[in-house]
This record gives sequence, C-alpha cells and structure tokens, in this order.
Amino acid sequence: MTPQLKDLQQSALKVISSSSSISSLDALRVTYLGRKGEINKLLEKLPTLAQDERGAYGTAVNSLKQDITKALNDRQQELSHSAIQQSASQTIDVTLPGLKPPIGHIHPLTQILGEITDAFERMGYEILEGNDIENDHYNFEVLNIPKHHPARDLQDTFWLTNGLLPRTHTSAMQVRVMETGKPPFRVCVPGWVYRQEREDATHAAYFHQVEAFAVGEHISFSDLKGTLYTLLKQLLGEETQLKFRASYFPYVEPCAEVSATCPHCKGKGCTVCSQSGWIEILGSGMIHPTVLKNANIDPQKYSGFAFAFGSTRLAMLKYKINDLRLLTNGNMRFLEQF
Amino acid sequence: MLLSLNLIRKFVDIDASPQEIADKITLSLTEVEKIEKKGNDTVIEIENKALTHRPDCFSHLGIAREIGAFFNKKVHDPLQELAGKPIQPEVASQFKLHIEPQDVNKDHCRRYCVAVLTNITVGPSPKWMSETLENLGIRPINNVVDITNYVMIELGQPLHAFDYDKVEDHAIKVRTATAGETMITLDGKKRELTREMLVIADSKKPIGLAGIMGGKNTEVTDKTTTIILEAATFEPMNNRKTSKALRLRSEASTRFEKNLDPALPRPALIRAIDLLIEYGDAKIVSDIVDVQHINQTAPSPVLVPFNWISSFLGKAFTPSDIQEILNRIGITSRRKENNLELTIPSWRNDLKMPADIAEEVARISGYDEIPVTLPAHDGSLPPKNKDIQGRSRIKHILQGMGFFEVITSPFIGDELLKKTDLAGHDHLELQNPLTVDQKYMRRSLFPSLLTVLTNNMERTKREDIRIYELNKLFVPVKDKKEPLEPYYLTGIMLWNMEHGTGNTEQGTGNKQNASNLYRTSKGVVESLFDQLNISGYSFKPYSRDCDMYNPFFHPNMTAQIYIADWPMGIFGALHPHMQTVFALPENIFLFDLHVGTLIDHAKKTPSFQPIPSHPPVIEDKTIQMGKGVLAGDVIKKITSTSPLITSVELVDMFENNYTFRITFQHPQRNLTDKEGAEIVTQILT
Repeated sequence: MTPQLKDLQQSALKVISSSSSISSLDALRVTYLGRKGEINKLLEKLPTLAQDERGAYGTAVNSLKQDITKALNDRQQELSHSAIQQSASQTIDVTLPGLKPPIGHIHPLTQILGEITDAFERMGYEILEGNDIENDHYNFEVLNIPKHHPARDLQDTFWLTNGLLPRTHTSAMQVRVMETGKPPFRVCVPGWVYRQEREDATHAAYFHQVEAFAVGEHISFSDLKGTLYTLLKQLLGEETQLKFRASYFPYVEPCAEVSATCPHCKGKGCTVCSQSGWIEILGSGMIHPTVLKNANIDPQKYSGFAFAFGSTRLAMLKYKINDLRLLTNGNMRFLEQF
Repeated sequence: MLLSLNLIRKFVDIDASPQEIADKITLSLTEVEKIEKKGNDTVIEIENKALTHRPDCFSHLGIAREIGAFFNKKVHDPLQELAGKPIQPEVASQFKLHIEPQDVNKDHCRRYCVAVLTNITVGPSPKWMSETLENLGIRPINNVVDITNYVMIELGQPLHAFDYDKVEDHAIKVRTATAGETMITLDGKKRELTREMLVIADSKKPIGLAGIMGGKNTEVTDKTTTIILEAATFEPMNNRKTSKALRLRSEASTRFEKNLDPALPRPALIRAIDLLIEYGDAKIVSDIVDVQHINQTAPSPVLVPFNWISSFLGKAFTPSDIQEILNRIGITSRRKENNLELTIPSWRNDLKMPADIAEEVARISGYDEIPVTLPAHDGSLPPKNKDIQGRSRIKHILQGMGFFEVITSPFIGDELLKKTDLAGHDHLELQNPLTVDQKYMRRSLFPSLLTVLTNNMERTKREDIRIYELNKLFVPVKDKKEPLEPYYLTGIMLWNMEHGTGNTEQGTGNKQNASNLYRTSKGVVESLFDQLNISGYSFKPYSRDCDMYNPFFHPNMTAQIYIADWPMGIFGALHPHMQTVFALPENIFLFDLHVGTLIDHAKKTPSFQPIPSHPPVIEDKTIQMGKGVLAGDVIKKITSTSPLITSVELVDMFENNYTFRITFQHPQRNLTDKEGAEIVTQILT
C-alpha cells in the first residue's frame, strides 16, 4: 500500500468513526465510494501505471475500498443502534390526558328506537310509519271508539282547528295498513303521539309510541303472550318475567295490560319500580272483530293481536331517566351521557 | 272508585284477606290502587278506567259478583227478590202523580220508574250509613239524599228525589229541552239548555237534567215531607253529549253514560223505598209507575263454537270447562251441536260476540293459565324501511362529525313565532292547547334549535357546539285539510375560536376569519353528502327570491344546495337579526336539508374505481382573483382544462391571491413534472 493510500485510509477511518449522524455518514459514503468518490479517483489512475504495478495497486485500492465500506457499515450500525437507544430512552408522562376527536351523540330515544325496530325486524315485522296528523275515522271510529263513547276520555285529544287531530296513538295505523293489503300481517309502527296533558316529570303533551300487530289464520292469545315474551326479553333482558292482567281498550278483546319485572332490580324492588318489582309496560289484546271488519278482513277466518307501548317510557326505564322533560330540552350535559 | 269490603261481604261469602281479594281484582278486572283500613271496614280503591264497558262494576253488588266468580263463591244477589216484592201504597191517597207513558221520551229513556212517598222526616241518616258513605268519599247530607246515594253505591242505580210540593201540577214529563230553556242545577249553576238535552220537567219547567243532576227548584230540604223518587235508565249517548256540552259530570252520569242495566231501576227503587220507610218514617202513597220503552231487558243470547274459544285463546278448554267458568259470572249455557248457546244476564249487556266470551273465559280462569306460544311464520322477510334506515345512517354520520342529536317540542306558540318572523306563515293550529307555547304545530326546526343553542351556551358555558334535529315539520297545503309532513335535517354549528375547529389540515386552526369558518362548516355538509355517496350536489348563490329562501339565513353568506338540479337544502351563516334575537355570537352556521331527497340520492354501495398504479403529479398554482370572481368557478374552470386533472383544492388564501393545489393523474402511465407544468400554463391563459 502506497503512503498515499495509507493516508487516505487513516483519514477516512478517522472521519468515519467520528461521524455523528446517519446523514453525515451517507455524505461520507458518497465522498469515498460514490461515482466521483475517492476510491474511483484512485482507480482512474490505474491505466497510468506500469503494467507490473497495476495488479498490486488494484488489490491495494480494493482492499482500501473494503476497509472503508466496512468502517461505514460498522459506523452506521453503531449510529443507528445508538439512535434507537436514544429514542427508546425518551420518556413521556403516560397519564397525560388524551385529546379526543370531537365525536357527537345520538339521542337516547333514537338509540332505544333502533333497538326496538331491530328486535321487531328479527321477528319478521315490517316497520311502517304513518302521518302524525290523523282524522277521527282512523284514530277513533274504525278502532271501535265511536263519537260520544266514554272510552274517548281515556285519551285526552288535541284537536286542530281544521277538524283533524294529532294522533293520540300509533294504533291509528292499524286499519290504514290492513285495508290496503292482505293477511298475513306483521307490522310495527313507531311514531310520535299527542295527548292533551299537562307536562311534568312523567307526562308530556307528545311522546313516542310503538304499535305492533299481527294478523293471520289461527293467531291466538297465547301467541300474543309468546310474542311479548320474545320482544321484552330482547329489550329488557333475558331474565324478564311478565304479568298479564285484564283491562279494557275498545279495539281489543280480550284485553291485557302487561307488566314486566323491573330490569334494574330483577323484580326485587328498587326506586325505579317504586319497590314493587314490576313495571307497567304496555297494553295489548286480540284485535276486536269489529276492527278487523272495518279493515275488510273476515274475523271468521282471521284473527290477530295488537299491542302498543311508549318508547319514551322505555327509554326512561332503561336509562333510569327520572324526568321526561330532559329528553326534549336539548341539554348537552344530558345528551353527552348517551 | 272506593269499595267497602264490609258491603261487598254482604253480597258474597268470602273469607279471603283484603290483599288476596285485591290481587285477584287487579289480575282479572282492574287495578287496585290502595287498600286502607277505615274503622272496622277495609276500603279498596280501584281504577275505573278499565271498567268503561262495565257499568255493573260501578256498584258493590257488581264487584261482589266478580269476586264470587274469581274465588268460585256463592253470591247473594238481591235484585230478583226486590223486583218481585209487592208494594202496598196507602189507599185513597191524596198524593196524585201525573205521568203517562207518552210523556216519557222513548228515544233517550228506556225505562222510567217513580213512586211518591210522604210523611218523611228529613234528618240525619243512621250512623252505619253515613259512616259507610263517608268512608267511600261521599258527603252525608240527609237521610233522603244519603239513601239514594247508598242504593247507588250498593246496586249501581242512580236515583233522584224531587220535592213533591215543588213540582208544578205534580206532573212529570221526560222530554228534550226546548230552545232557550234554562235551569239552575243543584250545584247552583245556571245551565243553558239546547234541544238535544234530555230533562225531567213538570208541567211548566225543567226540574232536573236527566241522569246528570237534579234542579235547584225541586231540591229536597229539611222542610220536605213528600218526595217523588225516581229510578230510570237513560240512553248513554245522549247523556254523555249533554254532560260534555255542559261540562258537568256526576256520579249519576258516570254510570248512565256506560249503558246501565234496564232491569235495575225497579229493584233499586224498591230498595230505596224500604230504606226510606225504615230510616225516614216514610209512607208509600203511590204505586210504582214503571214506563218501559224496551222489548226485553235481557241481552240477546250469544252462540259460540266451543272449539273456537280454545283455538282463539291457545288453550284447550272442554265444553264443560267453559260452561263451568261462564256459569260463575251468571251466564247459563246449553250445548247445541258444536256450539254453546249462552244466556247473558241483564247486567252484562257488554257481552255480544264470541270474542267477548273468550275474554271472560280467559279472565276468570286467569291469563296466567294461558300458555306461551309463537305464531306460525313462513319465514318470509318483510322489506326494509328505507326511510328509517336512511335517517339512522345520517344520524351516525353526524355523530362521527361531532354533532349532538337534539329532539324538541313539535309545538310552537305566538311569542316564538313572532320573535322569529314566522308569524306570517300558515300553521296548523290546535283548538284546545293547554299552554300558549303549544298553540301551533311547527313548520321550522330553527326556533327551538336556536333556543337550545342559547340555553346550552348559558348553562354549560360551551363554545364549541354542533347540534341538529332530524324531525317532521307540519306544512299546511292550500285547499287541503291534510298537511305535508316532510322530515328535515336542521343543524347549527358554533366553533370554538381559540381551539380551532378540530380540522388541523389546511391551516384553518389558528386565526379564524369568516371565510375559514364558512369553509369548515360547509365542509361538514359536504362530508355528509360524501359519506352518503351522493354525487352531483352543488352549492349555488342565494338571494331573497330564490327557491330556498329562509329568514334564518344571512342574506349574503348563504348558499342553496342542489342535488341534480333539485333544490333540497340551504347552508350559510345565521342572519344577524336572529343573532340579536337569540343573543348569539357571530359566525354561527346553519343548514337545513330535505331528508327525503337526501335518502333518495344516497347510495348504499359505492362502485369500485380502479386505483391508478402510477404516482400523481402535484402542482401548486397561485392565482390573483379578480373582483367578483368566485372560487367555485375557478376550480370548475381549472378542472375542465384537462382530463388528467383529478382534483383541485384551495390550499391557501392571502388577500386576493388564492393558491390551488392541482393533482394530475394518468390512468396508464407516469406523468412528468413537465407535462403538469404545461397544463398549468394552459390554465393561466
């Protein structure tokens, strides 16, 4: 190795070993090994040398190249290792609070309604909606509640100045649906209903209700019981028990008021169920033959059941909401809990 | 309604405890609300809503019959014996009573029984009676009134006593009122009568509102010695109409409006006469005048196929099971081939058809005894409801963008309408609102939504609010009763100025100005459309006379939104006037979108576009914007320069210099920077 090569080797190895970053090392790699780098410059001299010197010179330059390459690679490994070491030794306060992306909230009533319609869809029910503004005919008359029937007092009705009314129940859709189709029916009708009631923690002039009915051949009262068990177990929990008791609505016969075991205490008694263990949950019954007739369905051939419950009430029950007005006053501190 | 257990026990031998009795009533008849010990009696309060069809249950005898059926115990029904009991008036009485069958209106009065009693000493009733009445919430007045009340709660038949001496010519007519007639009822109120109202009248004037309340002019006082005692069956519909029209309800009308048993007046009258003789020294001085405008008192028999009951209820009952159960509620039956022919007792005129009988069978045997089954299903699936699904999808997208869903009242009052300049619009109006803010059905979601915004800013001190409501509006239609009920999606955005918009790209995070906030807000609406896979929407300039004019929007910072040339929404800043009205800060942005159109144009499944295998070329170009030149037009123009341009974004605005970032992409090969630069040169020209 010529002194010139030796000098180069020494200086190269020195700068390489003292190089402190990957980027400066990359620069050195170009300086020495690049297309116009030192090594290539040395090799360019080869043709100028005497024939017998060329072999030894070439070998020496190659060996120098290998030394430099190795030094570069070694240093690179060292540097990247220490860079990893350094990065890895950095610390952070892991308890710093996260910065959350701004995600919104879906109203609890919408959420519960989703659960309800999902449950009905699983049971093969078609989900239909009707108009909120109804007429006397569909809201009352066809449901076996003629004018001046005392049962009209059961629902305090708002009337519009044009003679129509904001429906008092989604049952108003029963005959509308049935008279335009043919049995069998399995229909669920969610929607807003309106009652002339003073508003307080448990009463509102408008609330959300879900009506459901099924009509077909050989549909029985026991099928109503089974359907309600299937539905309410989905909505309130698998361990839910039901109590059926006699009641009266003119559009069903027999009529059954249904209570469910409180989903919070499982029937033991708590504040949600006023210590009774039971929650009154819905009204139900076998569709009155007169209603079927009004929908042009032969009650000799077909039978069916219907029931309705307050989705607003179910939301309150499920989420333990103690004041109905919270659902409609838009308070974000309430809404962000859902 | 309050029930005395002592009085019930007079009619049925029942040794069950009050709680056991109450539980059974709750399950099989109506809800028991309270059980209370009062003296040596137990008072049970029941809910009477479920008894709308059961006038017989507005009496102790009726409830006793039910309890007898529930516990299968013997009921001592006094009616038959009372009805057959002979009345022996004093002969040659000077107390005449003039009433002829034709004087009793036959449309509205099915039965009318009266008798005259004299020698009465009006005074307090016996202690046991006044105590019973008091326990049941009825104020004792004097023996005559108390006896009529007592018989009513006992047997369910309302009675009324007129002071004989005050009845002109001692004549009774049951007639409808004449136009302009008035009377003062026992509560001291003057009543204007109309032609449909049934009254009891003497030869000159009305002396009672039939089946509702007696008249002041013939009231029994402590000077009364002779009375005309009345027990009748008035027609329910007319009774209810009158009671509604006069806003006057009474214990009597509560019963009559439910269609009372026409077999009841006579035995009830006789029971009252007996009590008056015993506790008022009364002497009966007339026969019972009994006018009947009915062919039969008993309801028609009902024919029920007995197999039908089992299949309708889903439980196998033998014919004799059914017969035994029905027998407990007084229904006698005989088998007729595959049917049961049922004889219905007079007090159960609500039982008309097989379904009614099925209810009785289920109720008396207990709903708990019915099995739990599911209806047979052929496995077919109903169609999905596109609207409900679409609304749910929209709500989930908005949730992802930080929006709170709000639900507010569908009503609105004059004050808020006036405040928001909506008073001039036609609204559906309620006849009978309970509060002034519930007078109309709303046709805009903005008034309540802006109220919600103000409230939240005040109460929660939030400065970063995105809320929306997706709900129905009620829009009256000319010459049509039924309104339109479209769903609208209405949203409000208030951005926190200090902390930025959450959108860290494109340098909008720091100093906000109106156009940055406008862009951020508009981006939300555009993202909603993009997420719904709606293509071909556009924002167009807005003015007072445009398709989508809306008073809540700023006149010059608002755009109309079109989907495929169909105006369907509006986006922009809050009108400065509304800002003042609701005391809100600047730079609040709103949108109002027709949900039906959104859902109709939303695509559920996007179709895949091949991904280019070569990298794009990106060039930034700054353009000096002339006055009145719209960024949207510039972007459109740049885009149309070459099919190789796949996107144009506005990345910077400095004074009127706008920098656009243009992306070039060739579907098959690499583009060179030079090719991009050449196209940019074309743009400039």
